Amino acid sequence: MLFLKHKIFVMASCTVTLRASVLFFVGTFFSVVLNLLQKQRGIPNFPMEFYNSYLTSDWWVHPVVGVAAACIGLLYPFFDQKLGEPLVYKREWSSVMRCVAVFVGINHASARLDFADNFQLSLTLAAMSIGLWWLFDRSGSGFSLGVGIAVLATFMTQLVVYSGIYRYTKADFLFVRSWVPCIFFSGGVTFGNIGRQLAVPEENEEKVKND
Amino acid sequence: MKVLQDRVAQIYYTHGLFCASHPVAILTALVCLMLVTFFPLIYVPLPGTVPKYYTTPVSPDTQPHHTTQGSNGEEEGKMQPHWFKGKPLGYIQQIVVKVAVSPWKPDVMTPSDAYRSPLSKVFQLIDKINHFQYNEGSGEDYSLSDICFRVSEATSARYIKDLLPEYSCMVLSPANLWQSNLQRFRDDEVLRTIFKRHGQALETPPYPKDILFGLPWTNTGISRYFIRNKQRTISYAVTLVLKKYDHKFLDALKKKLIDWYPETVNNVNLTEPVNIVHVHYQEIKFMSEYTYLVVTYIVLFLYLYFSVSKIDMVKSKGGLAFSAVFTVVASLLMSVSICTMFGLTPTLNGGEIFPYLVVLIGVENILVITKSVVSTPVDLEVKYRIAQGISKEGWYITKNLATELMIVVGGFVTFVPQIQEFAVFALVGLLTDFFLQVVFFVTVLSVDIRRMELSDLHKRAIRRSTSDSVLRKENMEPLVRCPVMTLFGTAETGSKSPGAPSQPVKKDGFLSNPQALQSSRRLKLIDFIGRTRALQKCMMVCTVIWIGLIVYKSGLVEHLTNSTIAINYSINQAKQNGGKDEYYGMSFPWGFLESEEISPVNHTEAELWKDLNHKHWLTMFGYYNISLYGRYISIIPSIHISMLINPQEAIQFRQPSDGTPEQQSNRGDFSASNDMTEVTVEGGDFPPHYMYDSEHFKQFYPKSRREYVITMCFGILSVICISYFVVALYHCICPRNYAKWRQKWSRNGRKNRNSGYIRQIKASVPKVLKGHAQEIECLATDGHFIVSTCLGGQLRVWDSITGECVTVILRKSVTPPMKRKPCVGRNIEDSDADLYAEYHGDDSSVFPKDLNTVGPRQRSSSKRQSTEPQRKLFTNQPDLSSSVYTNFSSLSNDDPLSLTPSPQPNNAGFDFRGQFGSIYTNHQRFLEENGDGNLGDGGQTNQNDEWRSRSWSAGDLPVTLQHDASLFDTGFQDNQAPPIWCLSFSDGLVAAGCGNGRIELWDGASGTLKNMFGDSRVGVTSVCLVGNRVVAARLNGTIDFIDLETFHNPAFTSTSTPNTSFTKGHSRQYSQAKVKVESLQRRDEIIHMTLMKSIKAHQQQIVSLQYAGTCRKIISASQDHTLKVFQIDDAFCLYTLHGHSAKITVLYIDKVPPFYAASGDADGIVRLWDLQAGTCLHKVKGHDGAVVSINSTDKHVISSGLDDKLCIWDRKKGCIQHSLDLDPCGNNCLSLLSKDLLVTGGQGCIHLLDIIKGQIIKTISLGDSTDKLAFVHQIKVVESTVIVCDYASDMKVIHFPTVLEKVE
Repeated sequence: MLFLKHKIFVMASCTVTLRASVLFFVGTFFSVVLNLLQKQRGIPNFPMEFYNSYLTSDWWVHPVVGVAAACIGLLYPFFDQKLGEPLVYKREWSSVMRCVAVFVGINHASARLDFADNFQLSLTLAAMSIGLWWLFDRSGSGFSLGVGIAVLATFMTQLVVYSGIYRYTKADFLFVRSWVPCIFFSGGVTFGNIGRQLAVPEENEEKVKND
Repeated sequence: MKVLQDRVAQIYYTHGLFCASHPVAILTALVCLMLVTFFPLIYVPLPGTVPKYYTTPVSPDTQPHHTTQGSNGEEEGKMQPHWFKGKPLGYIQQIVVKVAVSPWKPDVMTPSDAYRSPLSKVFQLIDKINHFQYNEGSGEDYSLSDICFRVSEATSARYIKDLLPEYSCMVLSPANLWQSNLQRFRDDEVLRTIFKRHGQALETPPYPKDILFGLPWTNTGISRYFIRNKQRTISYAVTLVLKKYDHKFLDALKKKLIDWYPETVNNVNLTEPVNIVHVHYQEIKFMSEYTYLVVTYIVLFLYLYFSVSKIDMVKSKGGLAFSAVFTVVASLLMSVSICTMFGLTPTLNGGEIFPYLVVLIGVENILVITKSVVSTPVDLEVKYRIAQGISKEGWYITKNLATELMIVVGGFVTFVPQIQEFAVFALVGLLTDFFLQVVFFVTVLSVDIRRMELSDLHKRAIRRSTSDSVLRKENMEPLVRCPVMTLFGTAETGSKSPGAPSQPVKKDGFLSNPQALQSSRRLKLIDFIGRTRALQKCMMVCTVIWIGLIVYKSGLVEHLTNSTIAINYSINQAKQNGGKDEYYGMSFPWGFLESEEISPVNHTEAELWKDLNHKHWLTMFGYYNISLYGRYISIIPSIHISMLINPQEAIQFRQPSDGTPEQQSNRGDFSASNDMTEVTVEGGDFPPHYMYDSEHFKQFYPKSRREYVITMCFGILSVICISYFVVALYHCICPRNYAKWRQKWSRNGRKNRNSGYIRQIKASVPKVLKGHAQEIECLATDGHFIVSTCLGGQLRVWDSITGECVTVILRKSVTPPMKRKPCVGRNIEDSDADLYAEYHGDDSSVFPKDLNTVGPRQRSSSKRQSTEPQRKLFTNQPDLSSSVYTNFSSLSNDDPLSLTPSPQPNNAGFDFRGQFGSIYTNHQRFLEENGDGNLGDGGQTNQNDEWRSRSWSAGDLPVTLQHDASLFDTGFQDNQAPPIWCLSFSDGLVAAGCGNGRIELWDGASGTLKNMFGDSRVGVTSVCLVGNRVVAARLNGTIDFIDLETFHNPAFTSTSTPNTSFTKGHSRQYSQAKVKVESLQRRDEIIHMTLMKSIKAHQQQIVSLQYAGTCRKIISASQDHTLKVFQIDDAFCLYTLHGHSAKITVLYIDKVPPFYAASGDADGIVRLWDLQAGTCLHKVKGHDGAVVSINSTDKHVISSGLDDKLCIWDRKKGCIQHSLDLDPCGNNCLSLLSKDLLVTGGQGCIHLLDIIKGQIIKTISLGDSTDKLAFVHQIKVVESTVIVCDYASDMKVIHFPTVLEKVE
């Protein structure tokens, strides 16, 4: 584990591209895993077909999400630099891990819990996402970026569905629409945290240079 | 607010003190508490096995499944589970039958009567059910087979194929065991068939008999052995699986059954359940289900890892990490068990939400506590450190807890049951976690910190910044004093080591560099893994988990949990089975009997199937390879039937092998005794009985009370024996000192080749170096040769190996500073050789014209100074130093370079007038001016006192005016050479410092005086010969730095005969042939000594002057309490070391780097100095009197004092390790043979000590006779195993070889 950590640091501190690639892989991975959660709702009876459909239909979503994660992870420290407010709140790997765990928990909750109606679902998820932001990232830039990402993602989902690339039934779609903003908001905050943590060694180098 | 914070801090402080003071007690109490709270966890179903239930009310007319299809029910607004879609796989209708034989006549009944006939009733029932026909009125008759669920072959359960229905309705009942054949039942050994194992190696519950009987086994009333002869209630269920739910049919069936079995009416008055329960088995899709679970756990692990890696500055990081994780896990388990105790059944899958709970609770608090505790000042006691640490963070922790509680309470607001359940768990978990952190973790932390040694703390002390200085002043009073502590007194004393230096230690002092302690992290990791045997422990854990899984699979856990539930049910049964003339001697504390009459076949439970094994339905359908996963089934409320059987009927079913009642009663006395407390054999709480044969086993049952007691005793004994053996085996296999224990085995057996020899140090017989007439004053050695001086002024050079005296220098005859002209008369004191040399001429003339060491210099002229002033030579000579030609190598022997202005008119030699005329005329003028009347012709007849050369060299030109009389006169009174006060010997050159201030340089090989330096009359107390410098310290505190210039004279090296023939007056007595000329370097050079600098270093006498090895420094220790460090090269005083408060008596400097100096003073205090930094590292008081001598190795400092003690110090810690008593007044010499061996002198003997052990190994006596024992004053180490010591007027050379001795 020491090697891994060391390697991560070494990688992260090298260049922007390395950071971006790390974020991309992590984003793709999480997208794959979390998709599994969501898929469970729809298909109760046929495991084999589940796999088939899974493999063929919407594989392109995951790399897209990975790219988005990379962008988010790079944007956050970039904005930090621009706005000049260094985030000193909980800058350590353990809190990043905690943030990731809470994010997965939110996904899990949205997938597993049976809510009375969509509104309640949205409300609960929104509350959880705000809580995530509050706990792990109390910066205004983080919040605004997250909101922006959520809006963007909802918009893109609408686009995708309307243009027919990706099909949902109506009920499903409403359901999906209720959790997309919140999930993307919390996802944005999470990946932003990861990106920030990866950028820490670089910032330290900058500081040393400037001093 | 501040007051509140202070209060909170104080509370925490008290708590911290309490925890740290009684760690063991607290830990034990906590462990007990945890075990107690974990107890309810047994009842918690293990995750992953519980099916989901959903109830809907029974509506007689409509179909019970919902109308909407294919959605999640959001449009309905109801909360229906997402699996409740479509039709169920089947409807299950159970007909629960309770049968008993009543009234019971014990004298005519046998135990087997109790169950045979009740069981036989099932066949009848099955027949009736199968033939039941229902007519709806208008339609046709249809029977069960129309609506039942049809099955094909039991493909998955081939081993019980014959038991299960095939290609027919799925109707399961006990009758299947006999293929619904009553005749077969009659002939069969019923119990054996029921409990028969069907060829499966590892059967997991539910067993086939469970499936067929349809009820939890404890309810059936059937057990493996019916010993007691009493009435029993047998229950079983007939399970019908229907394809569709026809309410009317079932109602009609029910009515019909009640008609057939009229006892039902009396015994069944349960409230009609109105619900149909739908059971869903969740599909476990491995990939999807477990992948993200794995991911979650990985993230959790990473979180824990990153958190834990921040723990620092503790003795055992792994231990604290483990206890942190354990705290969180234990708190969660406690919360689950507490919730279960209060009735909250966990519907959530524990394994899924566990990571989230851990992440929510977090280990931050633990890290905060650890950090704050380790940043408290190191020198406090452990419990105060803990208390302070906690009190600092107490407010923060409490605030954190309150915040988290708020957040969790917020979770209640969302009215989603799962979230609420999660919130409940989190809430209780937070509280328990807080409790555990503050009690358990703090105690563990205190234990860990206590284990840290002081040296570890010292190593880490450097890394800490000045933050601790702020905390030093903080002093808090605990809220309450612990009463236990006052009872037992203070258990903890300070953990400071004795003799710790009270002076502040500089940062880069003797403490090893903390950076050097950090080896590479990879090595540290591997080292950590190896040291803690992480891999082995991992494997052990995996093995344990594997075994646990096996046990779980084998159903033992299920069995135990079922049996505990069974306890409850047997109570109910006891109530039900209460008969008039029976006693149930149950030992259960809550098993009191009710005296009212309850019919044995009364149904009390409505839905017995709920206590079935969770996998019951799964297995049932699984026999036919029908998977229930992802599907659901609906369980219709059961129909209850009761039957009572006539005893006569029961007797009909008796088999001949059962025996008669008389036989039965002879077998056991159980029923006769009323007051026995026996454990009944009901309840199915046997060990896996399907392994044993029933008949066989019955024999071993204790049949009487006595046998029972004996059995119990044997049982206890065997348990004790087995446990003892297990413990002994454990001690054998993994004791702490396994190696030693094994060695004890083999030590008596075989001979160990290697340990046959031991090393011993032997002492050789001392070689005596005789020769001095008087007692030896100074001793010096350069590794091979020994130079000694005696009180008589003799200087001798010895060879340490042969013991021969190489050179003898009689100083009084050898240092004639006066040059005299051969006079008319002869002086008595003149030696023959001198006169001869004088008489015979030019070569041996007074003047050193050939610049050799020969000549009139060696003539004794000791008596001349005071009596013949007119015979002084070289008075009033002109200063010809300007014409000095120092390139001697170009001169030849007969070049008369005598520049004496005394012309011998007879010699028609070289006329130097041209060269020196001017100088002489100047000189004449000078003399006239000065009015010196002693101008003689040659000047050589006059010898002025002033003509003594300041630095009289054997090659000197005697024309310098400034000749010091003191050089020549005072020492030579009474024919005595000036006493030598100190010696220094290096490279064959002996430097002797005399009491009259003179420094003499002798050549050790030839015994010639090379040079003499005496411009000051102050006695030389120490002299050091370092390369080309001579440093001399004088009585008055001055240090002279004298430069040596050697001028090589190759022309003279050819003469092979040593010039020693001239040196000695009585040279014939010495066998010169034995001199190894080649070993001692002959110094044929001319040596000039010029004073470079004379510094008044100290105000008082300089006690010791030593040079520090390779770094060119000289240290002087003086009676003015200071030490000064000078550079040899430029005589620059680097610094002064202050610190002693008494006059310094001894000084010792390391020969190897790091160059530390040890000095002892008159108060008995020894100080260790770092010369690089110029600081005092240690100060130790070890002697009551003055320190007489001091020596040092790289680990120890050895000092001896006037109090006759020899102390051995540890150099790093600065504490006394050993203290020995030695001979009085005999130990002012210490010499180190090696790192571990010390030689010291005593009275007439020499002691060899082991430094590390602090004991005298050997004593070598030197004295020949016992009455004249002299003290050994000086010991010098010649080589690594050879020493030379002085003993009266002799010297002894002793060799200490180390030999390998065979062990006897």
